[in-house]
Amino acid sequence: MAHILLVDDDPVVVANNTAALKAIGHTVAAVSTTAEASAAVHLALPDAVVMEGMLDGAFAGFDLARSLAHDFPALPLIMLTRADEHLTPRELAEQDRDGGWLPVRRYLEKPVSTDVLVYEVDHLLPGAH
Amino acid sequence: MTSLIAFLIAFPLVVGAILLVITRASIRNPIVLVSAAAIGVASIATVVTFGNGDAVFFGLPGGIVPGQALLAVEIAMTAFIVVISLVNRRILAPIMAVAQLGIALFLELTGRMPEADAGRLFWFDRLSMVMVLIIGLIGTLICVNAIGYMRDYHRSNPMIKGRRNVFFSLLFVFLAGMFGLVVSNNLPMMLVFWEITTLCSFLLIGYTRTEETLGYAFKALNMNLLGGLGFGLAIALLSNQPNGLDLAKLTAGPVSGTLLAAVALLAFAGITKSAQMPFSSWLIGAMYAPSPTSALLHSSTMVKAGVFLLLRLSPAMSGSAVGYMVTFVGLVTFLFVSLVAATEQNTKKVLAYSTIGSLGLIVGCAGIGTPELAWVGVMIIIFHALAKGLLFLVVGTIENRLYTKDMENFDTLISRLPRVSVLALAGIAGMFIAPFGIVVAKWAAIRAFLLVPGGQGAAMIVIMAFGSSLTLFYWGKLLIKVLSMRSVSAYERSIEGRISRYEWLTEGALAVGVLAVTASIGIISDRVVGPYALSAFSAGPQTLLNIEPAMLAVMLAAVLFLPLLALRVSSRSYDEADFYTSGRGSNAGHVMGAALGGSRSVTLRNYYLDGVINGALMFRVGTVASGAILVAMVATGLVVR
Repeated sequence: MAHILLVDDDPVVVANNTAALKAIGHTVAAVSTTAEASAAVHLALPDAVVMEGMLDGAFAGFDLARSLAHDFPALPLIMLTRADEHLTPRELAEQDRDGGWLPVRRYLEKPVSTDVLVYEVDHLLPGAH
Repeated sequence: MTSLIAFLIAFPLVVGAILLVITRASIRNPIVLVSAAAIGVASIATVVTFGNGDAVFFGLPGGIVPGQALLAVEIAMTAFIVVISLVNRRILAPIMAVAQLGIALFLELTGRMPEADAGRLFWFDRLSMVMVLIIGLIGTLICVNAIGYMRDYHRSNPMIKGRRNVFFSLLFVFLAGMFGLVVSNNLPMMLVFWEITTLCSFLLIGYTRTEETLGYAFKALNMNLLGGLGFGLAIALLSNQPNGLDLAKLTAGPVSGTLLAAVALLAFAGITKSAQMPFSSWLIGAMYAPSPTSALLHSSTMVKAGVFLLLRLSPAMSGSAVGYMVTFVGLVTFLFVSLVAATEQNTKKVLAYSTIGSLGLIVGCAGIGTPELAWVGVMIIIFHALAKGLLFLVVGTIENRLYTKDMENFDTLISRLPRVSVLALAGIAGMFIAPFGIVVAKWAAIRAFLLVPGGQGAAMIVIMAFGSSLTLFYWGKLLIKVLSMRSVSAYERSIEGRISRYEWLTEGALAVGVLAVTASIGIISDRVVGPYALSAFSAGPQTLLNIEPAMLAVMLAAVLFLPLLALRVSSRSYDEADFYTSGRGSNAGHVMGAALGGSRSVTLRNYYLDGVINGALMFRVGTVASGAILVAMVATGLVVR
């Protein structure tokens, strides 16, 4: 099937999502920082990246998403995040745009059930739909 | 009152034009809110100033006849369809649009189109009044809801190129088209409004402009244009008949000959618009549009235009073979889509099938043409617009929080999104639990079918009873999913707090509306729907339903008690036990050893009639059966007369 890179510093989330994606036949690699993620993508290009927005103790995941989208425009990115808790109303308002506020295919607020993640990954993989 | 109706048609058009050029949400949202409120107030004012309820006919100020203006609008819409279709390499839609325009041009240029009666362009009666209230109140609530929905929609799909200015502009243009449609008495004018709603539906389904949604948008366009073509042919047939293009005069009583042929073609148009089989697939595809679109166009209002026209035609079809066939198109559709809905796991599609089924019931009632069944049809229109509109909006809200439309992922909803669940319960209850209107109406329909002369009524009752039991099955499944409970973390509970106030306001109002309309069903029946049914048919009804207020109150209290109790219980925490089965675990997952060395995987999910009923096959069977009846209906009208 496909190779998925998980970027998240919450071991419980990583364990659950890894198990769910492996159960339908994907291979999964997991890293917990933006530096590791960058290195992993450049080493072996995955078919999709599932990432948290809050990384390295700040909003580094958003910058990672932008740089990955810039370097690999065809790579599907999904952001699963709890960033919303930390955003100010002003920052939230900046996201109220007609698309293009972040170069990821899907921006999902946690908690996201593993069924949903599996569906989204399948839906975004190249060749599907 | 006449100036208020002019306002209802003209004002949304102006708002639509303004919204088209506004790209900033901070300016757009207040305009949407204020305009929606103005339209809501105007629609109530229209009803208040309506007077004693006798039908009112009127024209444009100064006695203007819109002849050339209508043609200009038709040419503009056809040109638009041709251009957008050719850009997207579609050929069928432009052919039908041009053919329809050809008919209009032919009639106009050869002088065959009779001059419209300047004083009878519009027709406002109790049925128009019901529709105006649905469009003006439910329709505008859905527009306000869309402010919150679309923000979340674009936030979670950042790479979809949004055009929210176009989206909101289309919603308001659509409202104008709907208002015009339900007050039209002149058929060529009604056709123009009819095509405006078709065009809005097409553009809204194709909002995201992906290959997938464009395909569904063109499917909807093709099928609706085919209906429009039937409408156009009917106008051509009626153009040399005295008073033929005056809808009120055409439908004053049973018709025969050329008039019946035209009525059959108009009924064909109504059947395409209300997505009856064989044209149901366009409405299923339309579910890929954002949820407020589904609520507004594909549940509460636009598809109701089809059944509205059929109810208008009902006295003319009464007792004819064409009428009976219309009824069976509706009932066969109801039966088969209910079967398909029972096998469907995508909640939005379940709602779509259920919508087609409810519309099928109304079509079934309209075809027979008795006052009792017209009463049933209007009652279903009212309750369906409220409850289903609410359900589509709630599913949209859930989709933006849980990112799923799969019914299986809706389990323990009452623990995770308790307040949204109560709204969902109000909608679900409105669809299938007594004493909410749809169940009352179904019961009245069974009673009225008994009175159909010639014994066909028995077949209708069997179909209705069987189809309704299926609706009970699929609504029950959804209800159980929503009502199951588990312990949730404080963070998981907090996601409900992110729902916008626009969504709370509108969905709450619709839920209150479901209850309020149910509580006042007696008044609605006595003051509005009953008199409408009496006046549309010369014969008085024998058995309009008499609703006992005390009984209604007891049943409502019982229904209200349960969700409130559930809400209270849902906040408790539970000790979760692991599942227990009597087999031997064959791996670490949910696979158990079974007899004869086999293994079975343990799943906890609803029953979708797997292996018993093939939903896709049933859809095809229904389409073929209904299509055959439809062909026979049109042939009967055109050839046999």
